[in-house]
Order: sequence, then C-alpha cells, then structure tokens
Amino acid sequence: MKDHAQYAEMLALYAIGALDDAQDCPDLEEHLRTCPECRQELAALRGDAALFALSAVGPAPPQGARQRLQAAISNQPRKAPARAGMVIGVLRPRWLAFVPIAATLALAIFSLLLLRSNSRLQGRLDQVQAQLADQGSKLRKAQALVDLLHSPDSIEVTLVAEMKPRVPHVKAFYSPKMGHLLLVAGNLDPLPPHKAYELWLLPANGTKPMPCGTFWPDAKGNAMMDHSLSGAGIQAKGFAVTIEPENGSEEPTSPLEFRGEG
Amino acid sequence: MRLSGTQMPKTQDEAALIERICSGDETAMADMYDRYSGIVYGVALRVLGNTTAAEDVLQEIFLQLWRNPQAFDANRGRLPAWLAVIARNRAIDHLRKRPPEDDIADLPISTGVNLESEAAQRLAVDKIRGVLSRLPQEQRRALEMAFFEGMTHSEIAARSGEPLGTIKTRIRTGLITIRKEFS
Repeated sequence: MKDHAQYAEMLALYAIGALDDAQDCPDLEEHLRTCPECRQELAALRGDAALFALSAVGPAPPQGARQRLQAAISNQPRKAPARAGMVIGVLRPRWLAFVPIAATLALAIFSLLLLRSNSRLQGRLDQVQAQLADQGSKLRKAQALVDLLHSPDSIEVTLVAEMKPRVPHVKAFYSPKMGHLLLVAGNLDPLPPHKAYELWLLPANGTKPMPCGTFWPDAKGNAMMDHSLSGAGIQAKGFAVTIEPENGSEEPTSPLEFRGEG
Repeated sequence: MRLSGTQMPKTQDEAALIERICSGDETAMADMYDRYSGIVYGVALRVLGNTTAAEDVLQEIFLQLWRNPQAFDANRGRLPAWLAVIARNRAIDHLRKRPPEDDIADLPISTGVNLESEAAQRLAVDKIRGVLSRLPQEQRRALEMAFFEGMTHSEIAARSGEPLGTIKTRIRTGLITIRKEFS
C-alpha cells in the first residue's frame, strides 16, 4: 500500500493520461475516492494540462464544419422543458385528498418502469449513434476522395522515367469480398470508331473470362472505371483487356491488349 | 433551424450558456461553437494530424454536449479548459481506434485562467507558447509525448532512454511551471 505522498506524485501523470493503466490507475483511483486533497490537486493539474493544450490552438475548423454541425443538430431537435403552470386551489371533499397520493404512487411506479425501459433504449440509441458517427466519418473520407477526382481544377499527372517512351498501362484494384473493382489506365491508344476497351476478370478456377465493363480513354489516353460484379467472393487469377464493340461482348472476340496476374 | 450566433452579454457565464443548451436553444450551440470550436479543433488536429479526423472529434464533442449538456458541471470547472481536455482524450481514443471512454461527465478541472472570450483565448495561447519556449527542451518534449501523442510515462522512458522517475519529474515540473506562470 502506498502512502499519500507517493500517490500525490502520480497525480500529474494521471491528469494527462500518462499513467500506466494496468499498474497504477486502480490504486490511485481508490485513493482519490477518500482523499479530497488529492482530488483538488488533480483538478488543478488538469487545469494546467488544459493550458498546455492551448499551445495547439491556431488552425480554424474547415469551413463546412459549422454547417455540418448545424445539420446534425437539426436532426436531433430537443424539446424545451415544460414550464410550470399556475395552480389554483379549490375546495374538495376530504377523501379526495387521497386521490393525488394514490395517483402519485401509481405515477412513481409507472415512472420507474419507464425509467428502466428508457435506460435500455438509451443504451441502444448510443450504440446506433456511435455506428452512425463511424459511418459518417468513413463517408466523409470517401467523399473527399471522390471530390478530388471530380473537381474541375484537379490535375492528373503521370510521372514517367525520362528519355523513355510513354508506355500504355492499366491497373485494376479488386476486392473479391466486396465484389467491386476500380480500373485506372493511362497512355492508351485511341480506339477505332464504335469500339471500346473491355475489362475481363480471369477466374482463379480456370473458367471462362468474366466481362467487367467497357471504358474509353480521354483525349490524353487516360481512363478510369469502377465496376460491381454480379456476385461477391469470385477469386481472380488476373485481369485482361481487349478491344470490343462499343456495347461490350459476353466473351473476348479479339486478341488481348493487356493482361496481368495478381 | 439557422445556427446563427448571438452576442451574449459578457456577464452571462458558462452556466447560463449550458442552461440555454439544456432548454433546447440551438443558438446557444452556435455561440458555443463560435467561442470554443478553435480550441477543440486545434487540440484534436495536433493529436491526430488529420483534418478530417479532427473534424470528426469536433463534431462528436459538440453533438454530445447538445445531447447531454448536463455532462458539463459549471461548478466543477471552466468550460473551455474542460473542452480542451475532453478534445485531447477523444482524439487519443480516435488515434488508438478504441471506443470513446466515458469520461465526458466526470472531469473536474480547476483553473483561474479566463478563456471565455476570443481575446482572452488569444492572450492565453500567446502566453502558453512563451512559457513553453522557455521550458527545458526535454521537459516540453515529455509533456508533448504524454499529452499530444498519448504515450504513458513508461513508453516515454523507453523511447527516450531516461529513468521512469526522471520522466515523472519532468511532466510534473512542467505542469507546475505552467501553473505558476499563469498565476
């Protein structure tokens, strides 16, 4: 068992969350429950830590942050507490005095039941809100990427080795679990009229290639395509690209232009 | 709802602001955001180094205050100081990808420094930067590793190759120096 002075030494670490949890925290928290002096010093040390935190203040929140908070608050309106009304006394028979008492008791029991139910619901609500916050965060990150790709002022630069010819290239990112793929290509040759490049998934089990969408290069030879497969869990040995009629084909009808294996 | 800030009289204290939020006054949230979002965001950004994640923490804290304004007990601390520490704790939770700890309600904080107005905050920010620039480098670094990087004193000792007792002393002395400089 440590003495008061030893606990006091640990307070600064505890105040800024630097105390090793497993070793010292339970001991110190037990001591804090019975020591007002240490509780007071802990509050002061937290105040010191808050001042230290101010050294990070400077960058303003992103412009849209206030509006996003506004929207979130609007989605969670709260009711103002009801105002107390004026009570007017009237004369009643004496036995009626017990009616409010009985009603109060019944109300108290009912409130307890409601409280228990409310507590359970609140727990579930907190879980759902935590999940929503997590999904919102992921969505914002994904949206930021999409915005970057589609922003009119975004530029796309492909870096190549100097003094070497520009080589056409195609990259496919594929998740069998999600059944989704993204294709990014560059330096592609222009297509003949009414033709398209078509991407093929080469299944790991050796069955016939699966069509994964058609795409066309822009004036600079760049292309990007995302595609969802009809089902998830299809393992790919690799991918290939052919030139097909602009509506695509069910199976490759021309020699492979590109091929790669994962 | 339009989240527009209103000019609160200077005499109106934090308890009144919280009371307005308790009563469902959305403009009180706007006031709180305008006054203190810089503190919360700055601290979260310093910990996380990522603007998107820092905004997540900002939104999370203000929304939690909206849902549960009674979590802040005006008798137990000053609101901006409390928000700064809550922001740090939440950001560290994000950094470690763990669910937020239930620390928003019970965090008594005591400081005599007034941070309510923007001008007062600017003064305090300038002052703390001055104080930190005068702290010994190893003392300041120990504080940064603990507070902004979420390292325990054992981890700091292992990283810096210094004894545990030295790290403990550096952190305590650093905090006490800050208190004295502001008192």
